[in-house]
Amino acid sequence: MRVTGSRVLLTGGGAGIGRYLLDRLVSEGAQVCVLELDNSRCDELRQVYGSKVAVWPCDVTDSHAVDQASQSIFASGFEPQILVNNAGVIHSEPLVNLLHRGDRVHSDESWRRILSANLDSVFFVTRRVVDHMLSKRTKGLVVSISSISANGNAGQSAYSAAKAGVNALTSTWAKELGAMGLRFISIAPGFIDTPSTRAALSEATVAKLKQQIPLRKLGELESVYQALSYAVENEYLTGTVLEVDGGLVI
Amino acid sequence: MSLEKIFVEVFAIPESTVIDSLTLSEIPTWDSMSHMLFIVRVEEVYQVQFSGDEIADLKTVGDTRAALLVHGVKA
Repeated sequence: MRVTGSRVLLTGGGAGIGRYLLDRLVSEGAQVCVLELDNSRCDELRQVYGSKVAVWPCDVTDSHAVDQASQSIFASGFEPQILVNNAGVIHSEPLVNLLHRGDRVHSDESWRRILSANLDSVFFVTRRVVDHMLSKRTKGLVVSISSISANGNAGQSAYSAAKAGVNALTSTWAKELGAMGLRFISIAPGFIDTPSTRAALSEATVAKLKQQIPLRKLGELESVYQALSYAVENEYLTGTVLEVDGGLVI
Repeated sequence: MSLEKIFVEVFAIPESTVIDSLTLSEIPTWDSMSHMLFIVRVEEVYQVQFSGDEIADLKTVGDTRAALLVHGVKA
């Protein structure tokens, strides 16, 4: 399997890591179909990529929306060989906020929202795409963007739990569907140098982080793409988590 | 390898019970996972590839034989 000429369904291709992956996949000659929640981002993607990328507005946390979008995509003739579950939302919230008085525990709302955005989405999209791949006997690949926070990151109960769940799904599905020629891989980025990372972390925090990272620097988006490319090309790779983190251990 | 032997291998049932009317879902050791392994093994032995629809229609031993015949294999 090669990225060039492959047909990729990508969730959350409008911004951040997903946008970079989209750009690189298109530049390497993949045919890409994007599921994106934000309508203005959908419009922007259509303007930038034109007919090179099929853009489908879809809230991947809504199972009915996913069912409808996937049905439409397959009916349009797009036959995905690779699914990249990139859509997700990062969130930090302590389990108990000692600086508050009264009800200071982690909220239900953010717990559900983060699990929905990061874990439910992977489940809803993958089951439809894999069902289709099986019906067509496509020997496909599902790559889910996880995070090193899956190992447990202080202050990220919901996000860590969700990403650990993503890794568990990768392992489960690899065991369940390997015999049918399907592969499942998680990519777990560490701290990647993106505008949203810089917006979320102070300069002092970034400097401290760099000291903890063995390679003494934040990761580049290209490193995440390289992991994706490796996952595509190495046809003996499945059921594993590729940590792209400069050696940082959480 | 005969079709009967594939059933024995995958489902660990006596060869004598593998008759055309045997329904896969009634085999005690059958489940969706073993069904998948059964399909893969039949495809491997007979060098065929069933479509998704064909797989969904494989409910009995007889169905399996008929599906193989469609692919030019007399099992």
